[in-house]
Amino acid sequence: MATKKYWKGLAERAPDKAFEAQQQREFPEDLPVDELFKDNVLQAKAPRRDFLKMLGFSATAATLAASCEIPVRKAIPYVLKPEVVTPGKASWYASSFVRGGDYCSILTKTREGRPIKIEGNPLSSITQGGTHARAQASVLSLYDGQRLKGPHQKSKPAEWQQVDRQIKKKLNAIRERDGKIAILTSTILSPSTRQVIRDFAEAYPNVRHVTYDANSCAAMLDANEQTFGVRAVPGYRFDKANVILSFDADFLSTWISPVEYTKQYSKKRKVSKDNPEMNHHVQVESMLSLTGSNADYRLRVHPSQLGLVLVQVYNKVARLAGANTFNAPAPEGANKKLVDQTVRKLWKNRGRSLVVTGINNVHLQKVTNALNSLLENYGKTVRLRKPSYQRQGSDVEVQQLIKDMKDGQVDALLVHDVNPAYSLPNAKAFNEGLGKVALSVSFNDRLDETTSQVQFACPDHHGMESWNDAEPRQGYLSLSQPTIAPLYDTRAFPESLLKWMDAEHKTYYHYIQEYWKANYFPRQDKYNDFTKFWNKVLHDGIFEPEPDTEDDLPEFTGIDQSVIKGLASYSKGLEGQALVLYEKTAMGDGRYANNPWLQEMPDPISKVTWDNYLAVSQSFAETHNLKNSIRQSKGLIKAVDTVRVKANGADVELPALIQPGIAENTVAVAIGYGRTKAGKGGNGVGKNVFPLARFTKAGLTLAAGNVSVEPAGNTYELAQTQTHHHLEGRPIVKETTLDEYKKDPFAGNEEYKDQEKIKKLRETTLYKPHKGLKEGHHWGMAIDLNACIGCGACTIACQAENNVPVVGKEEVKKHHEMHWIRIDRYYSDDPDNPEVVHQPMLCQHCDNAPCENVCPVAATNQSSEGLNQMAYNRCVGTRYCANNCPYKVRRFNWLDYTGADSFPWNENIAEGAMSSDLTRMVLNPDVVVRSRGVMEKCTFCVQRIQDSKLQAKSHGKKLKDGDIKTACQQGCPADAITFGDQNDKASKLSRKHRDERNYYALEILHTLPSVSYHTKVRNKAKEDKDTNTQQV
Amino acid sequence: MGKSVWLLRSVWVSVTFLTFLFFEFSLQAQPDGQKLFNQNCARCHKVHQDFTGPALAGVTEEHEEEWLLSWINNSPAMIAKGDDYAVEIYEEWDKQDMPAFPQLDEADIRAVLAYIEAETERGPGATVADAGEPGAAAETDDAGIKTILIVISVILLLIALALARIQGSLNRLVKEKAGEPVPEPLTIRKIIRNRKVAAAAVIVVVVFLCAKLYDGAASLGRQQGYQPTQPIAFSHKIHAGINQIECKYCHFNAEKSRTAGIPSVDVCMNCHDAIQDYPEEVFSGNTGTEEIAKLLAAHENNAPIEWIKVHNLPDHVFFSHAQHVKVADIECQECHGPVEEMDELHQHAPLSMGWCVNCHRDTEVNIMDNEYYSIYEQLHKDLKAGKIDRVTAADMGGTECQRCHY
Repeated sequence: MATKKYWKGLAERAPDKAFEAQQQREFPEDLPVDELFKDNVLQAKAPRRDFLKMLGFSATAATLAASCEIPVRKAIPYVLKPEVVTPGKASWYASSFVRGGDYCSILTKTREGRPIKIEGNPLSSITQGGTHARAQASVLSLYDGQRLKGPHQKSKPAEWQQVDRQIKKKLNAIRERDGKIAILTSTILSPSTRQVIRDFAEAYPNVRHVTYDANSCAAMLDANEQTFGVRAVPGYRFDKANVILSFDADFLSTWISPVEYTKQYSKKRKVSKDNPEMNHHVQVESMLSLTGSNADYRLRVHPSQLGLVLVQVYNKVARLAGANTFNAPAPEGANKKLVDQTVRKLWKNRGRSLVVTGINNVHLQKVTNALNSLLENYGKTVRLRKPSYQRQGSDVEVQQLIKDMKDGQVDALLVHDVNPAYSLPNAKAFNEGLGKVALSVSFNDRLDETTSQVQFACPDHHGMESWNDAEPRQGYLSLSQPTIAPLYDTRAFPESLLKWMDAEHKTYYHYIQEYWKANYFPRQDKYNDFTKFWNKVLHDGIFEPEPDTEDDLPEFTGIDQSVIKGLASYSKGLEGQALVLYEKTAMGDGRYANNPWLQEMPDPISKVTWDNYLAVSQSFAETHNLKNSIRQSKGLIKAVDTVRVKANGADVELPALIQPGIAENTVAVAIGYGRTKAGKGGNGVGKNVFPLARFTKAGLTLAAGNVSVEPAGNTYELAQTQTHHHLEGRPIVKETTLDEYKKDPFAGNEEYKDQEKIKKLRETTLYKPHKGLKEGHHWGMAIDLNACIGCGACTIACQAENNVPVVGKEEVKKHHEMHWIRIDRYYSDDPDNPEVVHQPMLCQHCDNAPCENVCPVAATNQSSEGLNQMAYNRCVGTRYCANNCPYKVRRFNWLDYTGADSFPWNENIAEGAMSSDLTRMVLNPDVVVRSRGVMEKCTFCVQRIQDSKLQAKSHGKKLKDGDIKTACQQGCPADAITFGDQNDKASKLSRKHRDERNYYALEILHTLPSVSYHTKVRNKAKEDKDTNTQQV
Repeated sequence: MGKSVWLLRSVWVSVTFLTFLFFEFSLQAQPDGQKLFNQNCARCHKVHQDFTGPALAGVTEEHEEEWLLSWINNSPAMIAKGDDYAVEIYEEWDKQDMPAFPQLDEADIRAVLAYIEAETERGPGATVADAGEPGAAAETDDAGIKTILIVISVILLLIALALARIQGSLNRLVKEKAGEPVPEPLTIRKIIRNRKVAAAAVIVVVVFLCAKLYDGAASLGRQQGYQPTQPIAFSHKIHAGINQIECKYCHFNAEKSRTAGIPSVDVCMNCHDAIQDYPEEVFSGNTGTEEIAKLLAAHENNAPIEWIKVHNLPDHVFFSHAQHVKVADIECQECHGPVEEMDELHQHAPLSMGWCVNCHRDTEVNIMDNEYYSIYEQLHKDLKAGKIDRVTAADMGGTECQRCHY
């Protein structure tokens, strides 16, 4: 396995001379020496007088600086100290992260009353303590300065009283003339809010509630309604499935409830010598998604053929089951062997398999249901008795609403948490309709594309400022509680509705309590007193009265031949040059656009930040003569040619980035970019490609066929990471197959078989190891490459915990990104359909660290606890350490990224990124904010180590294994990271380090890292591995 | 005759001196009724008005001294014994216990009673005019002695110089008389003109200046002795010194958190709800009552008090009070100095890194009694084997960068 070749991009796979020359450079960019010394200063002689002048100036400056008065700092205590606040100590509150259908049960960390960090709530059986990047980053959105600071009328600030009076007057007028009111919202997880809307519908006549999801799952809901009579997303149990077949469902990254699914999925991906079993995951898709990159087998098919593959699988299973088959053409050039093998596995694992389809087409969804039904998965891996509510949108109703608006049939439109003027493919029709509505109100938090067109903006609180509840899955309830008083003059959406009803006004908080008292309090018998019950739920954050059990399925009503007709029309629509629109892990449907943490998070596959782009295959680029090159301008910058994409009557110019893993005749681009009114951070980042999609009767189709893609003749610079380090052919990731692993647990990691030899080699050294390492603690980490899915939650968790600055697109282009933990993505094998390994890379805390002995001022050195320490205030910024680090994990503050410098020209501030007094409130006071000119890197969350040690000492107790969790470990939804004490031989970490799969990155350099990795195991036959071509 | 007069005189002087001395001493040994009253009684009693307990004006006229002595010494015992009047007071004041004061002896109680008597005579509203500050007096005394010593040394030095000069002149005269050659006198001018001396002087001056420069540079940003004027003339001496309030009563976060915490106004009000009068002048020149009024105003108006931070560490230093106060059990005074003697607080220690590190090197850690330290097996072994006699913080990495900088 060691001979396997890994590559980070296509350029590296088949390097040309320019690429090789670039890799030989010590620095990716030219040092700005010429710029600094324009006037031959280097040649000039310094006369004695100048020297004396300089000396005099320095002395005077030093004297002046010394005589500056020390600023007076104030310590202002509370007048009445709240009992729960201890200055200097964090308080934790259980709450929920809810944005539309996105859900995570969370714990919010507050310091002195301001939320600064989000972590997963381990008590929740939905998200099980996991989070994703979006939840982690939502704390920064709280301090977004672009949020509305109060109610607005016609985009001008107004007073609540005045706005309320006018809206009420208009509503009453509508009531009198028996007009029609429409409430257009995103998926609402809160049962109380849904009840408020129902109450509102009673108070006013003809109220229609339309739910709209920009990246819709409406087709699945429709299919479930038609085949089961349940209009909902099923509760999936990936942890019960031995075989997973996914058709374009990116369930680890963006599809419905990725954290929940990742938690379940990763449980089945952890192999050990005692339990060498894992699930078998086959992904059928047109472009390389994050989920596809984790699949054991990946079938790369043209979008028009996806449905045909599904029917083919269905037919084969049906033959085995003795059921009726459908008459459909075979998918073009199908890899029969892989399909047959998958069918065999599915059939063998009836009741323990799972088929999911992410395509928003009701016919495909119905076939999926039929397939799962044949495989006896209902009630077991697909549970409809307790369905999920995380997508509720209906495409048909949205389109009907737009039509009615245009026809003047709607008198009032209330918009909550959706941005149709941006995200609808037919936004123009919506805008036109909006002009005809007598009363238009938006509850969105900013003057976005939609809100700027309505009459009244009544901004909702941020989720961390308001009370709420959520029911992501039936019977799985959770509460949200405010962790800070509203920063602005905002009001909760349900509270506004309550206020406008003529009913006696009460606060939404009391409303929720009453709702819970009536509906959920009776569903338990542990507490007789509601207050006690409420406090318990509030403390835990969740209320899950009944466990999830296998259920009797609702009757499957079957499907008829009509689906084949629908399917054929779907396939026909995508023929020819196809375009696929997909959602990115970080950006979602565009609602997170003004969050710089998420904008700067590299895409898990392409590693591009701050942009969307058209992903094209190598062969496509060749036929269209599109070039991707590294351009030499203020650094080596990725420059790509642009293309003009025309589909569904819209046309957009996009940069074309060559990406492996894309089907022939297919191009792909991400939605969620190109916002024009998101705020300073998100405006103009990328292009809006929603207009390229279209609505059909079968649902919103985020794809198009017969697309015209023509070179536009321009080049565009992309900020792509992971292009500027070179592996030099050294093995850094290791992998094997499950069969081989079963034969020999050291498979793929044969070098470590002779443990005695390894031990001896590790102990042979010229340098004396730190004598304190054997005594006390010796911190270490183990990362399971088999569990890691590459989602990037750790990157954002670390960013939030450690005050890692945002640098902005221009700086990322120059490779100045600051993330302390990055995820490297390595391709191997077939460039058209590569295998992928994701490897989190952070400071390895080497016991024999190359960075330490080159530091001229000893700013970085080894601690007795095995930490590679970095003393920022001692660092003089020579960057020798970064140069000498083989893992390239050290980050240099080229400029002042947090706006704390006294000289404005030293600052480089990305909009909204911890640079104003407001956004700086997100900073963790336990971690110093680094200044310009110093090096920084992962500290193993030393502040958490120190805090846990202090807690243990204070109680006179030993530090327990697992007491310390680093931010990346806590944020990981796949539990891929283990942190602990290497000196504690019973610790989970020590067990991991003794595992046969355990290896250290670049161990040949004798750096003795404290971070180890575990070999990736693919559930794949060996022969398939050697010839990995599943091109259909 | 003369001799005996001298003897008599000296005896007389000694006796007078000793008498003064003892008189002084006995004066000082007399218990201070006011101080005792403030320390023990003022929490519940005022002289001229009812408070938690009854007003005490005229109490010495109402009761026998005997009865008072026994009541103050141990009132619960008297109630238990069933003393009529004791029970009557107890019932009248809602059965609130007055604690026993076994630490006060009869002389103390008499002093307190005398103070009450004096206060009774003075009548309500009168201020204590002559609250002399014994501390200040002591300080002046100390300073005086120092000055006298310096003056004496200077005089002695001058005498020695004069004598040496006279001896030199006499020697020269003797030599001149004997006809021996007389060396040139060594004048100051000559010494200054000497090259070696000049070189040495220059070196000394340069070294001195360099040392000064280094000290000055190193102390840039340090604020030892920093004593800002606070918005309220809060005296630590009155609170922690005279009234012996435990530091951690107000700075109650010290054992829990990184910061010891400036007490919030409601903590002050725990006591100052009752103690609103302090007619004496405090160090700011105002009376205590005036200063307390500022606190009451803050409480009333819900306006936080903007104290000025005295102890400032740079932002890149993470110091935890909990680690030092709770785990290491270090007295507050070790770093903050004799706070109980300071009226207005000032920064006692330099709070420099060298100062921190030195303490980490020197301070012994008790690793035997805290289970956390059991992982330091080698240190435990060495300690038992007598290889080392103590373990310091530095032995466990206490001087490493990332213990404080992260």
